[in-house]
Amino acid sequence: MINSILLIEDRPNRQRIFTQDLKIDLNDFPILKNICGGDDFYLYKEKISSEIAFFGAYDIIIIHRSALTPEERALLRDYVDVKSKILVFFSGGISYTLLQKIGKGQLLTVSSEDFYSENLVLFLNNSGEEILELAFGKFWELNMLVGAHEKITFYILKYTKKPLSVVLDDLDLPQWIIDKYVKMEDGMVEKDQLIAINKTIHADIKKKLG
Amino acid sequence: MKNILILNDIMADNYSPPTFFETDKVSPPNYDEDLNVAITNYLISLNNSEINSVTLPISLSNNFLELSGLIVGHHIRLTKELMYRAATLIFYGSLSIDVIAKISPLASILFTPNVHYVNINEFSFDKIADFIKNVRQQDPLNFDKFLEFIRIDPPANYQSHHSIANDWALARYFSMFEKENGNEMYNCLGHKISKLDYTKTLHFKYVESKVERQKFKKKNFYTPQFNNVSGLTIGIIEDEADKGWGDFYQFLFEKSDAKVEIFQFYKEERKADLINRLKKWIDEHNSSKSPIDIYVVDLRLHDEDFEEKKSENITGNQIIKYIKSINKGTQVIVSTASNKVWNFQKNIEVGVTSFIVKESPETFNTREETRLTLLNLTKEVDKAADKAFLAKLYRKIELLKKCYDLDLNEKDFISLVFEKKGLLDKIFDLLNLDCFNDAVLDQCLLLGFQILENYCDLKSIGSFGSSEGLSSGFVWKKDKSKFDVFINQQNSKISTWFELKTGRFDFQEDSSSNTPIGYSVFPKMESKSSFHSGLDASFLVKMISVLHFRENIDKADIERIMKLRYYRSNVSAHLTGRVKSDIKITAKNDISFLIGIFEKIFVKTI
Repeated sequence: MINSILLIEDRPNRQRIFTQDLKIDLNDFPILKNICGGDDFYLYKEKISSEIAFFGAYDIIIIHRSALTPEERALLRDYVDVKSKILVFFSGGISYTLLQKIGKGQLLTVSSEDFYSENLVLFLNNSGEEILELAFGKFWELNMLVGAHEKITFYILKYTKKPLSVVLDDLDLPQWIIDKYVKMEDGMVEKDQLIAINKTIHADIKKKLG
Repeated sequence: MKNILILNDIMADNYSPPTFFETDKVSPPNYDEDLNVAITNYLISLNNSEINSVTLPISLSNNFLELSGLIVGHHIRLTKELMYRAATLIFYGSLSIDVIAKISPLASILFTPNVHYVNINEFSFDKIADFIKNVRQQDPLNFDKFLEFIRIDPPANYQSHHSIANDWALARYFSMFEKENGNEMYNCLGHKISKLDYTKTLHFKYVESKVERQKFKKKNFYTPQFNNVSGLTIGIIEDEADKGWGDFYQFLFEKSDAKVEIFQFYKEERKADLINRLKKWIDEHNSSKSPIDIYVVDLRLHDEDFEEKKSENITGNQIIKYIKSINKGTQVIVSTASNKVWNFQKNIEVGVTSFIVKESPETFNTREETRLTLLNLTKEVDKAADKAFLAKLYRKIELLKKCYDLDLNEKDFISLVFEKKGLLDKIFDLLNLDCFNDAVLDQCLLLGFQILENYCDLKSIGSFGSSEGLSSGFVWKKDKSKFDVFINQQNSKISTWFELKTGRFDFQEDSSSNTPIGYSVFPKMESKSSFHSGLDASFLVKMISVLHFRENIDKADIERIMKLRYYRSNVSAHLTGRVKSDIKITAKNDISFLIGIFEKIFVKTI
């Protein structure tokens, strides 16, 4: 469960322009601590070097990448690695979305434009529970579905009959996908059953894309 | 020939592909590394082998929508350093191709020549291997068709666009330079450009590939060479200096024998601190022995400038205003990726006349257009260099206004010449407006002689006139002693220390040889019968008396003033037709010379 999210931005005008377009005020989200420019920005930035434990209060730390020195970025990276937190770097110079595991934590790298988008609204409205919402917005489920489809496809390539529990362990699918698509009793799973599951997922992917 | 199979995260854990393939995996970028840089470095590392095909997933990771495999495919085609950029590409995945096409425009690569998509549900990797063995590669690959099919949008963020234009322009201009591989600075600049993040992005590679399809003729190569910057000091205020713009200007200006000073920017510095540091840097240079003659200034020097609504608050505009407040004559060249007209208007208001607009990738300029941009850069720098003398002139005028050494009773003259909006200010303002305009120069010459005429007529300087029927002229020497220069005698002769020499200036249109063109000084007063009438002659006599016998100005300088006087009387004041029409005076030489004479006359200690 996510209790608190910290956003550190050094460009108040950028945030203002983007959030005006989105018709939101980031300060209205109780889960979000929005540090935007001014002395507070420097205070929080300084904490990275002087007192990293200060960030212990936050489960997700979102920060403008270019506002930090390489040393500060390294400190934050190491911190989320050890403390199982999620670190989000956004920047105008980034032209892709990338979600990576960093030790025990995760790092999302995203462009400023994609960060200040409906994705952020969706993510905050759902209390920041799903980082994929911030990465891919309303397509986060699609991303998971395609991921599951790919996993099952490659799993089938060299598949030999196994008990359902083993199959689920191997595939490591999100629970909501299991609940929705793996409607079978415990027991041995035939290859054809997996192919059928995959066909259903593919059909749903098509539906989602319209 | 190798057939590379790039595994995605799912395959790497669970699947052993046929030995036909040489398998590999693209390591994800580290936390501080750009994805494009990681991919480019990986692909370049494969350059040592001969590669026939690359088989790769739609996405390298479990997060399918990252589409990182498609990004790798684009990099293979668009990275010009790769030996295998035309290799057969086979993408594999679990989705049908129509579904992938709906997910992202990046999927358009699947429909380009020599690219294939294999649905793993339908085909095994053994079959892919068989297919590759039989595929007939189109040779050479039709890149034009490939580029027609794909579309890579620039990063849409407004600030990154600024960076894009900066990086693009730098790379583009450098590509137009004549090759100078033996030149260390040239190599250093090339190295810096190759390290720019933007040059690793798909957008850069895409645009570069498009423009590289343009025909490139040897005549398009052009390295700017400047005519008049030799000996000048040029200051660079450019936040992208570290990324190569500093090396760019240094390479160009030092080739033309100018000295270059580059302001050092620090990341994350507060705007107010940056402005203070810039002002201090400017002050230090201004008070140094070789002040900066020309500044090259970018407008958006701080991140906050990208959100600044008021043009006058943009750091570059504030700095330009400051430079001009110190010395109106200091030349500023605005070099910017901005095309906002209101910014230029603000610059013009404070006296900027030279502009360099950096080329943007959006414009898809032809090579000839880029060449014209570089020619414009040359022209604007030369224009600024031609006007660089104004800074020195301004300093002299300010010195004159502060340090004139005159009898304080000469209030009217002091007010006319030295006070704010006096004749000296007028001369400078006119030159600053347009120092190449003939009408302006004529007006400046008239004002210069107005100062000289009024000075020679001051009571504290001397006296020239008649007394009891006798004409005489004397000057007050600096030690307050009276010095008679000439005294008319009753027998129509004149006792004088000097006499005018007549002749003909080489720029005279008429053949008359009666023009006073110089003078001779006698060892002692001599009695002479020579007599010159007319206003100009009487001015010349006064002027020579004052400048030679009181101010100790060199004879050659005084004779040059005589020459200018002739021009003034026959061109600037009255167009008599006595001067050849192709003869012009210049601000840099002639007006500056007059100001230099004033400095010698009015300033006690130089």
